[in-house]
Parts: sequence; structure tokens; C-alpha cells
Amino acid sequence: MSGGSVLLVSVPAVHLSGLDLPGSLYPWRCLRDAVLPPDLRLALLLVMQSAEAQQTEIRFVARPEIFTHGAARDWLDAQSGGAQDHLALTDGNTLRLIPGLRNHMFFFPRGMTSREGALNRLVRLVPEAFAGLASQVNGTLTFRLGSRWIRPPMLPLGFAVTPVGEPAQYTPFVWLPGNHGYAGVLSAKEAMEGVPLPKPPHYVPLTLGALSDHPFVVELARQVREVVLDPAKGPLLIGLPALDRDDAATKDQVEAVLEAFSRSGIALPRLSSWAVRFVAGMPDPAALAGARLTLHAHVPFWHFGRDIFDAVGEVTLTGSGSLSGPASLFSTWLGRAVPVRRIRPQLGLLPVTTGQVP
Amino acid sequence: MTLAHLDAVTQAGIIEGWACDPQRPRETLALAVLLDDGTAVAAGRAELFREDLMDAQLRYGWCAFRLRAALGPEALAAQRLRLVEATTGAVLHVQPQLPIRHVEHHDCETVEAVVAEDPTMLRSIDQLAGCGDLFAAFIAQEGLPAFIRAAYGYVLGRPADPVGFASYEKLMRRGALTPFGLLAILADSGEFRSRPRLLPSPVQPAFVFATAAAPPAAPELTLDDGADAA
Repeated sequence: MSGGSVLLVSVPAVHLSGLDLPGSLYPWRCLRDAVLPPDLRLALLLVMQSAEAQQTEIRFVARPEIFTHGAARDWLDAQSGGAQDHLALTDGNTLRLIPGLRNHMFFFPRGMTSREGALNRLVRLVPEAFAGLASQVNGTLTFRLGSRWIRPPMLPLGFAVTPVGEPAQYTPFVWLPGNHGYAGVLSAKEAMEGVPLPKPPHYVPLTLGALSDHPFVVELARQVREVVLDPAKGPLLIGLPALDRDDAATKDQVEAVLEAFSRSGIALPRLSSWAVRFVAGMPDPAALAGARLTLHAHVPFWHFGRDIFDAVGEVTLTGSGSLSGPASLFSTWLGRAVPVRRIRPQLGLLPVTTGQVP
Repeated sequence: MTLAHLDAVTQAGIIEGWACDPQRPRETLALAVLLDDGTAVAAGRAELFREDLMDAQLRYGWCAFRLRAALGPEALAAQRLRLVEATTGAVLHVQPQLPIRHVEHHDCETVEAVVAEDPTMLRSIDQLAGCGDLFAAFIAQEGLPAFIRAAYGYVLGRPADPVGFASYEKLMRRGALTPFGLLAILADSGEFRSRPRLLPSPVQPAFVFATAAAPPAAPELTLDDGADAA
């Protein structure tokens, strides 16, 4: 995407149904204060900030698939201010492109397993649509088309300053074997804002994708056990994952993490502890000064601004799958090499704990 | 640094422009328009809404002024005018020749028309779209629950019902809804439309989202040349 020009941007039509749009081309203010999924809102903020920095004018286009040819396309060409590029923000379910323009893709719900699955299905169904992409924003999509490997060029975009929304809520770790729903309720009941941390924490933000990585969860559950039993090793800050449903509350997010821990086979002590704490929302960047940040490959690193990466003492990229693509993207994005720690799956039988006995 | 501009004078003798101090966005500026000889021809405050100022992110869009002048438009256009801050006397803008803007002017003939012209009341909730920083400051100071309760009181004139409160709090905590988005939803509700009420603008003391401005920072101690030499 070149600077100083016009960029057409489209979002999945499912998010436009409740909006009162003035026409097929509409301004940013129509989206800015609408109810949108948080990851889409962040992606739009990122695009708007990057465009402003490059002095690129953004025009949002609704239903870009209409403007393929004929009178509709002539109209778009006349109204688009000479735009040569189109950025399609996709949730994995659809990818709407505009023929004749340079199409770029931004898959924003990274880490959401259902959306990543949808994107993979879409790539299998219409690989040719992805093969023609001019770039992918903050993505590492690679696939095989016939005898060729296709990897649309990466376009790293990042926030200079982390967009902080509502104040983050901190809740304690509560472990009730076999009753994670109630543990989630108990934990959420004690939610507090702005809880001071005794020292720089070890911060591990999670997504559903990270929680589905079994070796990673086993490793994290071990760390939780260590810190709960010896609070001096803490604090361990676990970023609660966004869930794929609109009515999810903090207790549901806590429950999802505890469920994943219970599947890890690691025996955790039955107690409550603030040495391990969950955080819903983006923690205050000042609270992460000097912290250790462990990012799973399925965590969208671009949610964090460079201010956080500059403030933390150590950043590690981890996961049990292939990390070459994410590491390459993350290092390019960050402008420096990032230590990578690949977790090897543990072979053999999983231990059975009393918590798993029915 | 204060930013200001004398835009034009209308046929009815109203001087238009805008002024704000980006370092002190919560304060409205008291202004005066002076002739070259120092005679004041108009005075007032920069506290009206203009959409282009909101787009330019100048004091939430609420820093325009319309000042009735003591001279006619032709007499004003023939002179060099200075826009000054009334409290300090600092010159904010000098306009060698103020253009005359031709606008249709209607006198208010009904109470409704007078109320609609009242610049201290909102004409549309969209006039608050640029107040994101103001709402963020309120939430940082008072907390999200207080903001939702205040939003209900401000728009609907009643306390928040538990169901609505819980659902909006959930949406806002997830980052799915912005503070202004909540106000827009409430103002778009059937309840508000069936009983529309006048909403105070940010320049009104009744504007519930105004927070106390931070006290001015203590001046930094600097060493003058003499001290350096010492």
C-alpha cells in the first residue's frame, strides 16, 4: 500500500447489518462507535492509525463483491478517488476482493480457533483468491496451490502506543478440581481494577488457539503450580482469552482457562491465590515495565503497541508447532530478533490426578 | 499554544471563528475582537460546536464562536482585526481583511426555534462524537460502572436497569463498544425517541461527564545563567 493515496477498506458484511450507512462508500465515523467485535475494532484502529501516518485517505466500501464489472464498477472507479489498493478485513468466513485492484488481506481474529479453522477451509475451497493477494497484514498464511507454495508478502503494521480501552480487571487464581464453572464465578467475584503488582510480572496473554496447544498449556500449568505453591516466584499474570461468543463474561473466560489446565494433567493445589492472577483486558503498560512477556504463536502480537515491547524486560515467542513463520513475522514487525522457545510435546502417558476421577 | 482563527463576519454582523488551547482542552477561552486602535468590537467565549473542528480534533469540536459585533460588516471588513484572549490580552490571530459571509438569517419566531438555537444544548448526540478523551478521563476517574449509570441518567433520565447495565458493561469491558457508542445507542432507543429531552452540551455545568481538570503542574526549577556561573 503506497502512501499519499486512497485506500479502499472493507469489513465483513455481517458487521454492517445494524449500521445506518449513507451509501456503498462510507466514512470511518460510521464504524468508529458501532458495536463491533473487539479484535475487529483493534484492526480498524490499526489501519486508521497506519493510514494517517502514511497520509493515506481511507474510504470504506460496503459489499465490495458488487463492484466487479459493468455500471457498478464504473461507479466505484469514479467515486474511489483513484484508489489502486483494497484492504479486505476478513474474519475467515469470507474474503471479498475487488478485481483490478491490488487486494490486501487482514485476518484479524488470530487465535480464535473457529475463525482460523474457517480461514483454512476457505483457503482449501478457493486457494486462487488467496494466491492473488498483494500482501497480508500481520499474517503468515502459507499454502500449496498445485505444485507451488503460495505465501502472500507480509505487511507488518503496529501500534506505536497500545490502545488502552476500559481499565483492566484483575481476578485471583481459584482452583476447585472438577468445578471450574464455580471457580470462575468465585474468581470473577473478586475482580478489581488497578491492583498493584509487587514486582514486574511474568505476563502470558492467552487466546483460544493458545489454549488448544496442549504442550504449551502443560508448561503453563506447571508454572502456575510453582507460583501458587511459592508466591515469591510470582506474580504470574495470565491474560484471559477472548471467547467466540458475544455474551461471554469474565467468569466464562476464567472457566475456559481452568478447563484447559484441567486437561493438562498437572495437579494443582485446591486454593485461591493472587500470586497468579487473571487479567481481563489490556493491562496498563506501566504495570508491565520490566516484565517478562511470553507470547504464544497464536496470540495476535499486534494488539500490543511498541511501547509495551519497549517497556518489558524480555519477550519470548513460544508454542509447540512450527514457529518459523510467526518468528519471522514477529521479528520483522518488531525490528529485532525475538527469542523463540519451542515446547516439545511430552511423550508417554499423561498422569491421572484425583481431580479427573469422576 | 493557543490555536485560533477569525473566519468571517456575516451580513447580520456576527463574527465567526474558533479558538482553543490543545494543552487545556477542558477550558473554554474568553475572547475579544479588537480594532487596530484597541477598541473592542466584540467579546464572548469559544464554546460552540462545529463539525469540522471535531474532525480536526480541536477541543472535542466545541471551540467555535459567533460574536455579535458593535460595527456593521462592511465597517469590519475594511479594518484590520485582532483576536485576543480576554484574560491575558495575548493576540491569537490578526485578520487584515475579514471576509463577509453571506448566509440566510432567520429570526427565531417560536419558543421551539429559540430552544433549537440554544448552543448550550445538543442538537444531536453526534455532537459528542469527538468527546472520546473526555469520556475516557471520566472512566479513568470514576470507573466504568459510574459511566454507564451517568449515561443512563444523561440520556434517558433514569437509573440504569440491571439487565441493560450488565449487558453494556460486558460489551464495554470486552472493547466491543465505545463510550460514545453507548450514548448513541441510548439516544437511538425507542425510549428516548418517544420522550426526547434536551441534552446539555459539554459547555454546560450540567454536563455529567465533565471531570475536574488536573491541577496545574508546578513550574520546573531552572537555573539561570548566573546560577550556572556560580
